[in-house]
Amino acid sequence: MSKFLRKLLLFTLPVIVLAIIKKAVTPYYFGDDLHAQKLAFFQQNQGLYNTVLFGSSRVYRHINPAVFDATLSEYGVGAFNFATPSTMNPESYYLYEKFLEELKPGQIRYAVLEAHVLIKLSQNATTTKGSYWNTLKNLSYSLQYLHASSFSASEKWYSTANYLRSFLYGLVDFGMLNPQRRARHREQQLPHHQAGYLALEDELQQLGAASMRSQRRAKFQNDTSRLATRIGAAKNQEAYEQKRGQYNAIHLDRLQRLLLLSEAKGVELFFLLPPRLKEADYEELVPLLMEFPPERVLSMYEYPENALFYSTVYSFDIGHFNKQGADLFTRKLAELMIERLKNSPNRTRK
Amino acid sequence: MLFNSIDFAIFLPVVFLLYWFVANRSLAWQNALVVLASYVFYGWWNWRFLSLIVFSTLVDFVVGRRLAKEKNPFRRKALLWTSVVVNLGFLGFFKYYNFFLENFVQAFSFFGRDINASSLNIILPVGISFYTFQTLSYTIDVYRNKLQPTQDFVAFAAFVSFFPQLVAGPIERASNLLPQFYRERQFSYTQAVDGLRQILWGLFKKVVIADNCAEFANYIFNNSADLNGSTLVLGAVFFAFQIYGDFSGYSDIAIGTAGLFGFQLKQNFAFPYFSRDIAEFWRRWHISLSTWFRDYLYIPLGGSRGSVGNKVRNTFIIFVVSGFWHGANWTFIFWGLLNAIYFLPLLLINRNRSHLGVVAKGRRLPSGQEVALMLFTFSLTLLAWVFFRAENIGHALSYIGGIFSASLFSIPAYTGVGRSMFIVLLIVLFLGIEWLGREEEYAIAKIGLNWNSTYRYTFYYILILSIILLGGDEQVFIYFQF
Repeated sequence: MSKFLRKLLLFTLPVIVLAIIKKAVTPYYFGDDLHAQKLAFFQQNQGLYNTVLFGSSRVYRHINPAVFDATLSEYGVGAFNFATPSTMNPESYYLYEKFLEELKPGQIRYAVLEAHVLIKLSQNATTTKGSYWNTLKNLSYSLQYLHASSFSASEKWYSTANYLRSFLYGLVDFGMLNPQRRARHREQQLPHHQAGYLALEDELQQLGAASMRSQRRAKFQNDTSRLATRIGAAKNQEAYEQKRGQYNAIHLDRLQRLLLLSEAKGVELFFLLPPRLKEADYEELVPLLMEFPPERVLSMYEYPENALFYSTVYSFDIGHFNKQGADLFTRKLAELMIERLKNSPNRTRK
Repeated sequence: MLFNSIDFAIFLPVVFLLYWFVANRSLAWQNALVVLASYVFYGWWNWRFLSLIVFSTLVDFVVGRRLAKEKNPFRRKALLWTSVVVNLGFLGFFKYYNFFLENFVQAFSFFGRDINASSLNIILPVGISFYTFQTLSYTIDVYRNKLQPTQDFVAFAAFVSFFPQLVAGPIERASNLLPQFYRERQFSYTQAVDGLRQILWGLFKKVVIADNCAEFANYIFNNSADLNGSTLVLGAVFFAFQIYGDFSGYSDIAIGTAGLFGFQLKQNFAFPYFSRDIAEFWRRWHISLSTWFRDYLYIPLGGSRGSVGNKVRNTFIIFVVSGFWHGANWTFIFWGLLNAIYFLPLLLINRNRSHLGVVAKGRRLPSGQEVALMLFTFSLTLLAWVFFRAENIGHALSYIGGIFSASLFSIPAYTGVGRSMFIVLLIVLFLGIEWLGREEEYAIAKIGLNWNSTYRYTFYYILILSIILLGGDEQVFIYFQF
């Protein structure tokens, strides 16, 4: 038996070494090809942008940099949308953090980062997208977050196991090194014109009617009543605010660190609280963001102030706006940012 | 839990170490660990359906013990039918309920009668077709007095749920596997290394061959109406290698994994695409299922004995039932029917056992005649695979119609044709290795054993790198749905 185990260990050693080398030499974003493409484009056109937007599809599909720049023209904003679909906490925070680390001071003036609750990994734990960001640091953060969260005991167990699975998978996953998989992945990615923004309708035109996105849209259009639950969640602002002080300390610490890191690089960071989230998300995020100065938070969820963002006229599906909705949202977001900038000390216009 | 997942990569070494270092104090401990590990393995997918396995185990254990004591033929038959009804009842409900219901409704509406019946949203428990057949074989063998019933419940539960082959076979006979749970297991270095080698080959077949073929097979079958005949042929070829790589790969991993724990499972695939006629193909494809149907259905019906009419009837029954076992869809029944039609002429002219040995045994290359026979047999299976893969009979017929059109002689044209040619090259290389190892239980069983260790390990690392770098998008094993 000992001979068997010894030889097996020796046999697997080169594969383990290869995995370690892979982890060391591949860039940090080697798992989200769309982010990699956006970053390459951004680096080639650095002079054009002084503002970056990070987050999930709720940023990717909802913030049109052209509208954003036009509304904030007096501040000389040139925005680039770095968000990609399903990029949540901690992946989104990790990508922003890494972006900052490689940034020269003064290169970027503003950043908008979508606030998220910790993503609950399940099947996606053992995919390249669900694991490339899961470094030892992020694993430690996620496990501490889960421990400090108000999730049920079973949810904590389940999520802990999935974060561990994701971490282990990330160690041995060669995902994007596989040329075939990479080629397929690239084919699936559509051109990201308009400074990283791609409206859902534009994507749908290329994906065709048979796509899952098209089916999801049709399902929503057949039954828009589900939007009522999202409106219900947005109406509870008072209840959320009464929970002031009941935040996840690990999450708060992470955001505070990002804020400090941003300041060190001369970047003014704004946290975005988008509309159409679920009640549980607001329950956690509203008290958390109340711990930051109001000028750092772009809260866009409250009902009825933001009633338009819950209208079916501006909806693509349950969680997303259509093109018109995205433009409207972008304009309102930019206007809110102007307010924040006006209230901010030491603010100078272009 | 999928064999090609990180979960299994963690699960297997943990169970292996516990089995040989902690539970090795007694056979009972090792068997209990096998049961526990198997339930975890199965419950990983859906723990609720574990109750079916436990219930089936309990019923067959009790029935087996009662059969040993019972002398009254009528009561013995009643006990046998209890097991048959429970096991096939589960299978019938979960797998065939909606199919029968929909067909009854359609049949009534055809005669102008509308009946109201709503289908149920039933989830098919993974592996139900495999473990129900395995437990049934136990009860039937005990009933036939071919096997002594076990008194050891844990060993029996381990036999029913043995995780390497629980969800997609091979369907083991109690007479082969159950006694292995009574025998003390000694760790064998040779067996363990052989097991790892077979796992490696199985992973290669699944991840490199099957998963890559799946991408193009899916694309071509999903867009068959818009593609030319030669592309459709290629689509069928991709599916033929997808299903072979997928299922025989699973069997290899299962057999190799069992070997790590000191168990020997029976060979399930014996290089079926090198068959020289359909009868040989069926002796080499999914052997554990074919022999199950042979022993528990075909022979009791009379087999190939008796009148021509009986032979024809029995052949059709066994192939149609085998097709229906694969799924509740007319496409599988047609697939079975087509194979019966292929097989029947051989049976009637007494040529169904012409090719019992390995093709070109002891020779490096086959003769021209052997090549022609293998190509002809492969072409017949290709046509049958179209029914197996198609969404419905109409789709299969239009697919075959598309093949036999003028465009058969045009150049294949579809999205990603260049990349798919690389997959064709991989298939050719794969077939070369399979050919070299066709006299063994699996292709790489002996390949490289006489080589210098540097070359041998280089070969294994090439396989590992291929799995890492050339693997297709992860696909669920096809046979999980059966």
